[in-house]
Amino acid sequence: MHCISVSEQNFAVLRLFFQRGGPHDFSCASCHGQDNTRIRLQDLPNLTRNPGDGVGFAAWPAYRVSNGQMWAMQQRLNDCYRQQRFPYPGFASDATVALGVYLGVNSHGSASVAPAIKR
Amino acid sequence: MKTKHKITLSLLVAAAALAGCATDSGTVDIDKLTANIVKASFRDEGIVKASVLDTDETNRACSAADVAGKPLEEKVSKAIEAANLKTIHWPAGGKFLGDWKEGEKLAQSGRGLTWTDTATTPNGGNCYNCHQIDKKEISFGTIGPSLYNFGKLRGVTDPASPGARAMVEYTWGKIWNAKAYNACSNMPRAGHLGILTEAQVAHIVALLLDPKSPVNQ
Repeated sequence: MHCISVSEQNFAVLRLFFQRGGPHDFSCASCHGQDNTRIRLQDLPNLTRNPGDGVGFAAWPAYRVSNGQMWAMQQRLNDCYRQQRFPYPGFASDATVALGVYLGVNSHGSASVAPAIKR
Repeated sequence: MKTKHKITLSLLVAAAALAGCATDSGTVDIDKLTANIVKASFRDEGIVKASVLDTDETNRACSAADVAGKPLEEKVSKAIEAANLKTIHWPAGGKFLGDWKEGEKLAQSGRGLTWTDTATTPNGGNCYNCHQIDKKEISFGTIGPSLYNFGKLRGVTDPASPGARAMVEYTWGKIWNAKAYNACSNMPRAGHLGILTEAQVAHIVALLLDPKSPVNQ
């Protein structure tokens, strides 16, 4: 088994974040790679920067009103990938754990508002 | 402050744990590592097969440029655009414009191709998710530019006229394969990747270019 450094692992996370694919060619960055954009009327956080505004990460876990359930980051990322038209990521898969870590590191210093209420 | 540091440290440890061992400075093929992570993390579900991630050279090059934080070299992006231009299927009998009313319905719909859709779910065009189109629709996204007055601003008063031909072809081509005109565009390749049919593309072209469409009022 390879032993790798944290910084190199970060590169794999970046590759996951910027991975374009599926029938719509979407990556995480298609919607979360710039400031001040939205889908329909939903504001989109830019998740690529450190310091980020914390909105993307710091509001989870949250109660999702449209779904009637409490969602942790794993469920949030799962639904991102669903809308991205990607295949199904396993719960606590390496990809979703790595992305959760990436978002968390980018949100370092921002205040968590969890448990939050989300649409 | 102390709690914050603890959280950060645990996140970093989690990142290292993904690799299955402690840190060192050895050389690792990050592309291969990423491919292994993707292979182990995603599976088929419903109508979506894991193989949709076996993507093409366009996406591979654009993803790599995004990771590097640098745009593609001019030569590479021109080659990608040329390759995508070749995939465009032009309409039978030169019928570029369909029914703008149908185009508006498609532009409104964001359905299709997720693992909670079925094979018979009609695909939408997802247009309003990213673009302003008809001014009456206030719920529009801003990832793409506004398309309000798309034809009017480009001087298209009669889409059938020879003078409008280039703009009509561009509009069709852009919807069929957006990467033919901008290699790493965020816009899906609706015709090329089978999101929309030829008839549906024609309806959306009509929404944008028909002088009677609310887009051009």
